[in-house]
Amino acid sequence: MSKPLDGVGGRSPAEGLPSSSSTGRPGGPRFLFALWVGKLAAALIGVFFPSRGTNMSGEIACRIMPDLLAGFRGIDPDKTYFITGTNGKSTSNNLVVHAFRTAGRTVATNLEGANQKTGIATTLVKNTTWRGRLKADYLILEVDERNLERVRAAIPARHVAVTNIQKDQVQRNGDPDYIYQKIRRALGPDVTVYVNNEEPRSASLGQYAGRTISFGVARNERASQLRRDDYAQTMACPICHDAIEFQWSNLAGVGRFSCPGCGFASAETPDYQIDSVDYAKRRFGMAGRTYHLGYDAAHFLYNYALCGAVASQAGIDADRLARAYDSFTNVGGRLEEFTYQGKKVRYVRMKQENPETVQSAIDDVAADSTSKTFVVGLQLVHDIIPHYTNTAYFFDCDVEALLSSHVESCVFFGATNSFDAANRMTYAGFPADRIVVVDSDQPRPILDAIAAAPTEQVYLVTMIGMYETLRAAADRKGEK
Amino acid sequence: MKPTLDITWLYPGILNLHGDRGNVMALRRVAGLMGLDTRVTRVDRLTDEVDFADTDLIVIGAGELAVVPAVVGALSGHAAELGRHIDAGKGLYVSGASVAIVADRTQRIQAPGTGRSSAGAGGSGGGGGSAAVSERSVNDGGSQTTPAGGRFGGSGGDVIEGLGLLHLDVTERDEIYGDDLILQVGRETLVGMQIRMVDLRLGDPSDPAEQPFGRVVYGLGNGSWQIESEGVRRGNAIATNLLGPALVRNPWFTQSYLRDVVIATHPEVELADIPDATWQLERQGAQATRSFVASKRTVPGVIQ
Repeated sequence: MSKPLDGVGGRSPAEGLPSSSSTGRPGGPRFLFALWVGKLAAALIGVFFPSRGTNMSGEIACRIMPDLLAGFRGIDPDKTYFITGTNGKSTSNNLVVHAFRTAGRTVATNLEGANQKTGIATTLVKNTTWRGRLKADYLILEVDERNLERVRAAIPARHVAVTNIQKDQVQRNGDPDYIYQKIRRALGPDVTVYVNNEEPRSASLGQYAGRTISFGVARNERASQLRRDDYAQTMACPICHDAIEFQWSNLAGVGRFSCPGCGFASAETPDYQIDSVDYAKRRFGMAGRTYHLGYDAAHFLYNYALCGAVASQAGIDADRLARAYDSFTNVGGRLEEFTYQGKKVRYVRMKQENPETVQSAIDDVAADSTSKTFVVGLQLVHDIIPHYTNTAYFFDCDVEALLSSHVESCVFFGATNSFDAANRMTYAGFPADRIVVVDSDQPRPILDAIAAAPTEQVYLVTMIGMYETLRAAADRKGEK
Repeated sequence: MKPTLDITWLYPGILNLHGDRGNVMALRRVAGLMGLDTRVTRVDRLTDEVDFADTDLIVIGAGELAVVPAVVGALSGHAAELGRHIDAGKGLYVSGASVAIVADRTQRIQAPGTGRSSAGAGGSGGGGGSAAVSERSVNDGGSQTTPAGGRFGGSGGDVIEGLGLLHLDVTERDEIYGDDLILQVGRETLVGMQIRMVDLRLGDPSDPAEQPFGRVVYGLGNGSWQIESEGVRRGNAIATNLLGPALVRNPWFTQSYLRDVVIATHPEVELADIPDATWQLERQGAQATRSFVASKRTVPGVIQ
């Protein structure tokens, strides 16, 4: 077991961060000044701007000392874990932290999802002494995949877990290879990487790390039907760039795979595998033990599997892991419900420009065979300037399963994207006379369309911010 | 019996970044409305045998630059045949960065993934953020930066040799640029979006056989040399960064393009007209995009 690092003298400064010679010595007076200002800011923000508490104090401290992250003391690389990837890193991080804490370990973390440099700085400002020494045994962080390399250059974690690497936020990332290259450069011979056995890009990262631990989920009752037509699931092999072939898939782009070009393939049995799932009884099996399945969407299984791998490797036994899974509550759940004018509205979260989360949402909706209305809001992409319209990723999704799952009506809303999104369903063969377009982002007409839905059950698929706006408006109208 | 349009869809599992299957679905749908049957041959693996002899139209979706050398390697034995295909007026439709496959060559930036900045990666939130096209300095031995952050020449990275079907120099951009894109193509206005990974430089803009695909009404064109032009067209071979999928969002163009291809491949066939009312959703979608674009803040270097 290594000793905790006291400062980072001798290590190269993080990529993109100014050198210590230009900004002050890590752990020196400038660091302490930045830290104390950050702590003072955190206290004030907590009182006056609590909603900005996850980011702002770190942002202020980093303005004073841009390489602040490298100055903290008492961080043991062997007890430092980074959770990264495209989808599922917040839930996985929260689950791992919960497991460690349930096992009696002290953990500093960024549970609220502030996973960029300033969010991580805020976590450290809040969880260190006045001299910058970590007050917890473990540091477990969700780290934005774009920033992993620079964060790890400042905080040399020896454990990196990668949920998956998929198409996401193309305006920022362009293509998945961009993120793949960033993640693989953050790895090295001193790293244990935890990889998703069934996601090809994640699974291939072992070649860049000193040690590889794989996690996965066996084929289960909600595995997707593989198609051989236009919707055949595949992707370029990360090794040879030929077309990966999936034998089955639990999620879009996640399943048993092999590359006929170079032979790269998922392991028959990963190191940690969920080998049985009973959605109805909310339980799953791993290594001969049965655990509680708190959330019954298929994608949650990979969060549980990742957590099982990390926690087990850290010496947390099955009893403690079971207690953690029993008591876990997800922050900002992906599946929520509310009632509006007699309609039972079930929200299924999706991410912007992310076809896999849209496909998961579609699969969740299609898995329910009751009569329902499908309400979709693909919003304007307002991530960075310029804001723009993008519905192309809806064509990456197989929506045809909805046609046979008793969707009685579809509602598409949004001022800019609703017509193009609706067109996707006409391409799938859904009757045009059962499609309603609400070309607005205002809650009232959207809620009116929900109220007019021909079914009691309504599934709402949109970004979390729009959901919260609609939910708040629905609650207000319900009170009147 | 209806005439059949033969479409070869190259490597859809590898080249599929932006809902590209939608373009094939649009070709099927529009061709059907025009009175054509379609036969789509999907070529999945790089080692699959491919026969272009009966192909009327080849579709290549948007892919990662990382896969381009492998795809070029798979098709290199067909380069001459593909050249004859284009010269015969048959169709070739290429989206996004896959233009590198059919170009003369592509200059990658040094150490892919390091030089390319994810502009605004810190997250700017709403309308108050900095422009995504903010420039960054690069030590590239004399390269020139375009108004919107791309650059040509001297980057020192790998050079990918393409099939040379379209005479283009392609350069990987330092910054990804994502935005709406509106083009004027002949009498048609085309609406879509762009994720610009590469800049293009047409080999000889005065060559009447090879011209820009469209004039930029809104958005970023091929690069600093041709900022008001987008893509390239030689006969019925088109490479464009208009995404959307473009053939779904602009069925009026899909129709005219198919007509051009059919004239070259099945000149005896009479095609049915499609009532404009068929495209009500698409017209409304295009109008919504144009209205939104008209309200946008100006981004330096972008046609607006």
